[in-house]
Amino acid sequence: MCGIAAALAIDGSLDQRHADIVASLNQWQAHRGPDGEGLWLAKDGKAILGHRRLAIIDTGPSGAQPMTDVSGRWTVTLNGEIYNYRALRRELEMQGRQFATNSDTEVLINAVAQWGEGALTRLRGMFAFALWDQQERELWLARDPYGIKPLYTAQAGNVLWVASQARALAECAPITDRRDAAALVGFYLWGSVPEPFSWWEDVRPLPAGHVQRLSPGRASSPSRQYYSVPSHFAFESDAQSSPEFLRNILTDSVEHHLVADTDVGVFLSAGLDSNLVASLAATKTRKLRTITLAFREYENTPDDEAPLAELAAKAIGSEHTTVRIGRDEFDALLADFFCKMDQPTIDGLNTYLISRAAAKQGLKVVLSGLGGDELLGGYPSFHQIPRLLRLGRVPGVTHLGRFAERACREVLPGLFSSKLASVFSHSGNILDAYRLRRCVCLKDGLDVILDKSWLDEGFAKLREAATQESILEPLGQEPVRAQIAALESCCYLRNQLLRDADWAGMAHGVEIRVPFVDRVVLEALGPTVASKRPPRKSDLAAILRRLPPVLHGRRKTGFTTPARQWATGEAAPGRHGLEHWSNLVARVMRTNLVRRPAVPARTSDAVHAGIPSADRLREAS
Amino acid sequence: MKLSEFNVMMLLTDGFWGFGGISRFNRDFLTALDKCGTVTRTLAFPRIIKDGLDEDLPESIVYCRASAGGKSRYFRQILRGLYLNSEIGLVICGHIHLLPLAYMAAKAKRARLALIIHGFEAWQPTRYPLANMIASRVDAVIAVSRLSAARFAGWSLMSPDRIFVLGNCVDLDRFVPMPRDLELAARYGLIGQRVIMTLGRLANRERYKGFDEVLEVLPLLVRKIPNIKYLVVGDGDDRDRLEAKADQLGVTAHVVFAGRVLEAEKVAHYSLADAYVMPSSGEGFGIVLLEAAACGVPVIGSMADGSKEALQDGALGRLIDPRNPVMLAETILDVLKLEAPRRRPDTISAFGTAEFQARAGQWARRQMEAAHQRAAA
Repeated sequence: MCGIAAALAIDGSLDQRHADIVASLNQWQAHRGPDGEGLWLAKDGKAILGHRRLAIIDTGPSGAQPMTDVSGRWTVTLNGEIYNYRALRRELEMQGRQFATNSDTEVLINAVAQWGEGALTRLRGMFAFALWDQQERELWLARDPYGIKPLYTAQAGNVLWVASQARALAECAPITDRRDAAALVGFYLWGSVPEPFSWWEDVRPLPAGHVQRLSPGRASSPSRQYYSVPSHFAFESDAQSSPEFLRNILTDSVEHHLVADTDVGVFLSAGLDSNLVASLAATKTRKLRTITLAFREYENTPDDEAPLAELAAKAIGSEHTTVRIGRDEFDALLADFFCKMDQPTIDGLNTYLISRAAAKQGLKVVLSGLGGDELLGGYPSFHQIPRLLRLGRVPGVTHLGRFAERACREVLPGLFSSKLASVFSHSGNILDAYRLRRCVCLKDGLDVILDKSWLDEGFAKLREAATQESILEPLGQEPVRAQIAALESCCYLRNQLLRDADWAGMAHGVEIRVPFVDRVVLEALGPTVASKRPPRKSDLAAILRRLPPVLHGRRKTGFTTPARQWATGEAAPGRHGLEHWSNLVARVMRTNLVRRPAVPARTSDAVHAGIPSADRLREAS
Repeated sequence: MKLSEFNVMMLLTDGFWGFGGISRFNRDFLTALDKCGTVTRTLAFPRIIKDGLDEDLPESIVYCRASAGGKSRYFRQILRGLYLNSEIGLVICGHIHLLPLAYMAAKAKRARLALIIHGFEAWQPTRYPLANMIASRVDAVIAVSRLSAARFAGWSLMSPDRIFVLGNCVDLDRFVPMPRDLELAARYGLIGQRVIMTLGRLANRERYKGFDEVLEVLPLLVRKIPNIKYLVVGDGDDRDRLEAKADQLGVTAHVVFAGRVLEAEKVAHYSLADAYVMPSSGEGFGIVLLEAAACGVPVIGSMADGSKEALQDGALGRLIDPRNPVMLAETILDVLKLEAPRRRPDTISAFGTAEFQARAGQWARRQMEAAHQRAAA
């Protein structure tokens, strides 16, 4: 897990100036990979690859990147982990492929060399990579099915720039810093920037589960979807889940996610998901370390998760640490929090704090229970949306609802919460119902937040992209529960939770692994989500028999935190909601209050590969 | 680092998609509020929207288009804005005539009230006793020049420490010295001619721009420089009178009325001039003087109003007394004698956008602190 960067000459060739920019992208992303840096230039000057390394598998120099394979044809810069690399390696070796290192990176190269794009669906893990094929003179970009690992591109003139973080491109690559209208609208609506947009108009994410092959001289070719998460929620009539089935699937996943040549820890809260991950991990590893974030403010109150987590850790037998953070310590961290934030988001603060605690404990790899709610129907949306849709079947209710909504907003604001006033108008179809459930601010409320020019442009772009509609496309006739699971997995999980887990973990050089967000788990459990016997949270409790009963009976609370209140200096929580927080985040990101000091990076700092000077490059060509 | 929300409501005459100095100032000011990092959001309520530049609105500005078009619509939109926005820490009134409405808004939100004064309109009490009364009670004042600040303080008895001088700014990247556009020069018949120029609204009620003064010395100038042309850029209800006056003085052949030009064509027009002349007597600041100077055109401005400050007491151009025609004529002749290549004076950077944004940000920060103190109390 690392930070990657690349440049591709669409026309002409690259020189020292381009190498300097890739070096500065590396430097910008240095916190993602404190263990090493690499820079590599293709012989013909068509591509440059950069890498910041967080050494986890094959931690010695042989695992350094960008890595070229034995044949010399392929060079890759990879961010992520391939959990099934040992099995794949055996398979590839049987087919005669040769390996020079023990790293998963080399397995990735050989898999692509052997199976082409077909390799991508064999990989189990989280990844985003740029791979240069010297023979075909082609740059491959690819991202894992769920989009756990980020990858952004930006084209400026004849050069395509690639990086792990959108903000790195915005601050280092020669592009305009114009805001994307769709990102602005999306952020105020949902609290995170929705794919396929980024905060900056010129920066684009490579969509999750997509591969793109680009070659110099050829007009940019579109990316191709090689894996669709939503279609795996399609119901199969013979599929059903049981606690035993769930246990086997999740045990296998956790075991895979423990693959590392360093210590692996688990983020432990009082919730079922993290407890399950910790307890399964404890059965598969000799020494497990668990870590819990707690707030001094909450000590000896019902909001304090630490005592429950400690109880759980004792039952599991893990080496447990509770990290308590207080207001003073937090105040000193806020500037850095915004400095590391990649794109505006209303979340991420807790992940940032607990990752920092993990890094202080010397952990580089930590498992998290993220993604369990999407598969196991843990969110309130799984029962609220069906209820809303039943309401919508009453004739005329949505029309009446629209009228009532406007009346409440224009005549009696403050009498009802705007979300409550919109319940009827959003009961007509699942997308409306989902948007109401997940929105921070309703569409109609945006006209006092953003100007009409941004709104018109933003909504037009969102309509044209129709991302949410396309998520439901393969599930047209499927039960509502499957559709909700697909929307939660491809919107909230992808745009908010996974993205925040990436940058907030990487802010401290901590790799967060998510055993619930896994291709194999999805393929096993997805078809059962809408079955008569779907996997449930209560199944986890059955698996977790060893745990203290107090954890089983606990209602889902959502993680409470005083951190936002600390940041705004308010005396008491609850006066302002998330809408207020999103305003503050947008303001900080807009004015770049915490823009990191520009340190001009020179390629001479790069340790891995020598870059010929511009003059020598010209001679060579 | 502490984060807090600070929303601003601004009532203004015109700004984005508008013309003229006041709209320019408002655009720059709103942009500065967006950039300064203090203000979370600004809700702007313009009285007028014309059809000027097509420009991107800064992302934290919500520009209420519905408020332009009639007094009752304006009033209703302000009420709606107050209704839908729970927290407003500062109300900025962009024109003294809008002050009663701004006062009401500030009271309704328990917000601070600030007034922007541009020039002439605030040099003496207005026709509206209510506005005059409120003017002396606002929490803060922004004046575009020291002169406007002093004149305003004179009648309103406002304490000077509440008045912040924020001169206009000029986009130094856009207003740059350019070679003469020959096609444009041919269109106005200016090829081979020595050109003096004034740009401004030809308003019957505000005859302080100095068009009359230049026309009056033109016969004298023609005698000394037969190929001189006076290029008048701008339009308004005073144009007929000025044309008739040129006719009376027998200099019609030496005056070109170009009419109103688009913002995008301004640089090309400044570049036609050998001297920019504006013997005004009521300018609050005179942003056009800066634009001309930024284009490298020698500037002659007035020592009797805010122009003196715009020209940095003579560092950016020559100062004349608008009531002294001999001095005006001699200075014009003097300037036209020089045939030096166009050069922008270095000290103009003090009026650059960056400087303006820094100062506006400084003011906004002070307002935020004061607003928070008030809230805490």
